[in-house]
Amino acid sequence: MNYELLRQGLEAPICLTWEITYGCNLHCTHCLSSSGKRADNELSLEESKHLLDEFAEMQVFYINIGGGEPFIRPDFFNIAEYSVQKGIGFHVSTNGTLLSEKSVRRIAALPGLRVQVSLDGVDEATNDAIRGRGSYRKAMQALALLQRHSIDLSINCVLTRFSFLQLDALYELARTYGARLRLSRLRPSGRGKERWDLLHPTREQNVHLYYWLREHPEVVTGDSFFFLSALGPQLDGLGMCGAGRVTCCITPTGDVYACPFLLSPQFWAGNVREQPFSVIWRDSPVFQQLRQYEVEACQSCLLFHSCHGGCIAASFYVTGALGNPDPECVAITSLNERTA
Amino acid sequence: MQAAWQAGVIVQLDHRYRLSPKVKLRRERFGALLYEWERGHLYFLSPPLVAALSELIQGKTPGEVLETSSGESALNGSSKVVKALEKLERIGVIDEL
Repeated sequence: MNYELLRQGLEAPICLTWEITYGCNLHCTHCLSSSGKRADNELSLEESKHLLDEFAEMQVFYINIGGGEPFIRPDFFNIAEYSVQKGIGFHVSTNGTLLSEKSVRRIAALPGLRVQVSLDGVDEATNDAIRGRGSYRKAMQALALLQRHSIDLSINCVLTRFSFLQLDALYELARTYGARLRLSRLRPSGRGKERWDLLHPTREQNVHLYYWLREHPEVVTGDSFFFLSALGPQLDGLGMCGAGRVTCCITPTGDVYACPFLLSPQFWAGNVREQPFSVIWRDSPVFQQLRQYEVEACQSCLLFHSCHGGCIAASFYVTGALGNPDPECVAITSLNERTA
Repeated sequence: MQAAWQAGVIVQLDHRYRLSPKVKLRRERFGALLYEWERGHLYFLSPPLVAALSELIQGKTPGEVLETSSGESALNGSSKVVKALEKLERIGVIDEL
């Protein structure tokens, strides 16, 4: 029932991703937004506050702040403080390298602010191969600092076929820092397109992951792995692609896309400098289409109710078109196994 | 009290409740969405429950909310509402004042 309610879109996003800068001091090989240098025309603080006013008016429940590296913006705390003041949950994703005693004290003073530190492996070799030399050591320092100040903390790992081997160790590492473990799915977006073939988990790993997630319900996924629910009972989450329906993405320059993994012209819904965000959310043709969209090729699948066709971004970037099943679909073999 | 007893609930019909500060409520076409931000849980509310919850938030007791029900289906409807309110209290969406 929830699928039908959500598929047609909500009055406002449940949450949205707002990439507040393209600036980043790292150069991760799988970066979904291909970040590096700040853009000249990134939204100003005033524009950012105006946007937060709109989110508050629309009752967006929380925003995921990403980039780029959010802490690279000199006015980061102005934005964060205004969001908290407006009652909007503020979840910031950081590589941790720019955090200091002083900045973490400021974070601690902001109720409703959650911090997620990216770590793409449990050891230096695995992590730094993706995130760059020295990034592991700095991320660990940040985790220790954040823990010391009792910050609401999670560690996010974009799961690859290499970090997959470290699932249990990642889980333990997060516990050590009093953090939640969050696992995200690798998408072939941004620089991730070039690394997809090399990094995406194997089918066997994905199958194993499904059962591992069932055994570890406290691990959060941001609904990344709902496509695996074809293997059995549904994993925690909405169980569907929320692009343009329950979520969307705003880039540093105010462009609105259906999802942070769908940053292509086909999925551009508007720009907040030209139209109010609420109007874009309600009326943009792209979002209207997505609210009618169903993966045609999956309609006859007996397990359609489990994943509703999977991730649109993964399908679009791997197959080059809409309407195709998720490239990591596990349903066909699963069906064979069930009927054997 | 009868409706509450029949539903086997904890909710106190003569007490007052408030929406938990951990929760945000947003109207939607199908009723409302409730978001509990501590655990990140989402709940879907039907229109009758939204109406009951709104009255509760405005200061009515569950008993007073139920008194507004009338007609042939009142008992069944009331029972459902009480059960739903009891669930909302159990999951921490409403707090007793």
